[in-house]
Amino acid sequence: MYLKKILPKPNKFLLKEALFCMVFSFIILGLVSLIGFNLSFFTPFNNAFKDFSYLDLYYAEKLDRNIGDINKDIVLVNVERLGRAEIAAMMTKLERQKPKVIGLDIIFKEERDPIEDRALAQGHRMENLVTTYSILNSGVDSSAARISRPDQISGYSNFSFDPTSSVVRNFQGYRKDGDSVQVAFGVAVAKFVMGEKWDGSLERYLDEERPINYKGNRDNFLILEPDDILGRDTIPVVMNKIVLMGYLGHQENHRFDIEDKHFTPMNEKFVGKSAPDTFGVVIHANIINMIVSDDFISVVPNWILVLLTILFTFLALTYFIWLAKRQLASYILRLNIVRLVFIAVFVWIALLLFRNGILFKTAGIIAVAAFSIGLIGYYKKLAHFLYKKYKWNGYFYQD
Amino acid sequence: MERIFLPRLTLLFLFWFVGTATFAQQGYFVFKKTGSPALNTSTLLERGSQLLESDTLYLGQKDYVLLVNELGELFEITKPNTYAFSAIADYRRRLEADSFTEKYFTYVWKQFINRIKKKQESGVVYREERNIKLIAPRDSVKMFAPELKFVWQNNSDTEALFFFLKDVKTGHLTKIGLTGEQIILGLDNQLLKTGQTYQWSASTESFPNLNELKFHRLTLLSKGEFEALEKEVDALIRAFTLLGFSEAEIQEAICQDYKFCRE
Repeated sequence: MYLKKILPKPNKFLLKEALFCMVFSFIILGLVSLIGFNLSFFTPFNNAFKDFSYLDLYYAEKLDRNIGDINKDIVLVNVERLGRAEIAAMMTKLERQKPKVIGLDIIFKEERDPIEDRALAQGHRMENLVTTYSILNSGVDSSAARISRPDQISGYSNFSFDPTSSVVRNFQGYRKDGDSVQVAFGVAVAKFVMGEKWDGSLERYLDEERPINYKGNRDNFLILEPDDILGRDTIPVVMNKIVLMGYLGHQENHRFDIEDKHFTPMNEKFVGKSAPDTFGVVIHANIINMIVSDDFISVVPNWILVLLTILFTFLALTYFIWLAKRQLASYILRLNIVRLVFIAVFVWIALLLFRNGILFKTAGIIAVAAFSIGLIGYYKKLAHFLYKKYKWNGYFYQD
Repeated sequence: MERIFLPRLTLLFLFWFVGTATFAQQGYFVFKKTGSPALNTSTLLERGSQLLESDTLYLGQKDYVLLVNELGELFEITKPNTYAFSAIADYRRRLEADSFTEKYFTYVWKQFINRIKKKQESGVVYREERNIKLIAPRDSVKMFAPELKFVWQNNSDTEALFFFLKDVKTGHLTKIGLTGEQIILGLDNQLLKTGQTYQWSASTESFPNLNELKFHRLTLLSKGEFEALEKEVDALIRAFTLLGFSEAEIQEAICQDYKFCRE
């Protein structure tokens, strides 16, 4: 009985009106988007929202279930501000501990002291070493020829090739460069570790940009500082582990260090200005962990999102057209309450799915539905005009 | 039925046994440490060191270790003692309860009622310590009260913090996570006992370096000790009263100079 009061009873005119109102709002939305894309006047608005995602709330409000978990397969080694000789010594020491692989997230671009370079070259001879290079607009930055081997397993350190976003949410595993195919550093390391378990279908999957399943920041990995390595004969924890060497700042003051730090969804501040939050090597570690443990994020396909957008917009319009016709004093209040509840519940569903490894981008659905509801008043004017001029019968106006 | 069941059960048992033995062989690795915890009395533990089944862990005063096993589980040991390998499993760190929906809707509610974090920005460099200042009870005081109010001033930007209470005699360290700037504890004969000496502190870090953390010392007087001290300061109180000082001023002076405080 109560439900009958608060929910509309569907009838032909109501559904027809909702459908036409939806078409009307989609046309308006299309025009607005077109203007938005083509006028530089709107660029600041586009820029303000391009790095925003509701899902960042997941890490910012610590809704993830991985709080306190430690990655058991990957050990990070901080090279801090060490010279080449010390880095070479660390590489040699680490190799003796028999790790599965050593990923070197450092580029020794120029030739320097011949003795130090020779020591580094010696380190680069190890079989289980994966090095990196960087793809720039102007070319490629890689280690000097007298340090690295020509047949060195190597991967690019770039995460994504999307120039519009500053937040590292996605990464591209493979990149076509003319006839050759380049591989990402994280993929190269994971492929080396997985050996025969590496599946060809993974290559096809990683051919496109994929979301990174972040499992933790600096605190969620065991980090060995130079003193933990250079001053000891054995480091048992390294045995059979994936070791990544890179820059992780000073162990006490790394929070204030922004060298090789990037914005990720793990940033404590998910809107507005903030400092970058995650070291590059930690992002690589998360990528490697995701591939090795086969813990990818499934993305809800666009066609499902389009269908859901149409469905929810239609349902919302049906409800609010019914409500508008009743001309209740509480119309605006109800509109705002339902809109608020709709957004809160939808974001909750998206976060819940994200927690279970499914990326469901709800921002589009929320924006289209909310925008369409806001256009009901204008649509009513149009319906009135059509009724007066062409005797067009709808839910608002009919004979 | 039994013929199928028994071999399967035996196999299952074998798998379990082999599995358990394998994990046991892997042992624990040191993830974090403060102080000088040692392995088998002689070897100092370092980050990344391994503890095997035959090893014994030694923790002295102010030592702390956080161990991780092959499954990524954490084990936290804070009390000075000797720990056999098998005993470490009892010190598994408990993570906070999984309450995704509650956390999310609490966040939404806070946004709704506009209880968002507000932070004033000022362009200045601080040369003072932007951390927690311990207020009361003062350092090295003797007290007699049915309950104790620990007060501090939080100068940091972090709201959540940890209160630490250490029994000097046993070395037992109690950690309580809270928000705000005070905690009241009753003398329950468990956490706080009369006649005992304690150290207390508060920190924004869950695992602070206990060697560097500033503690206030506090002795809880028994009734007899309290009455004896009362007699000692009685003459002083009378003298101050004759000089026209108020009771509060006299108590404050005695607490400051004689370290004998009422509250």
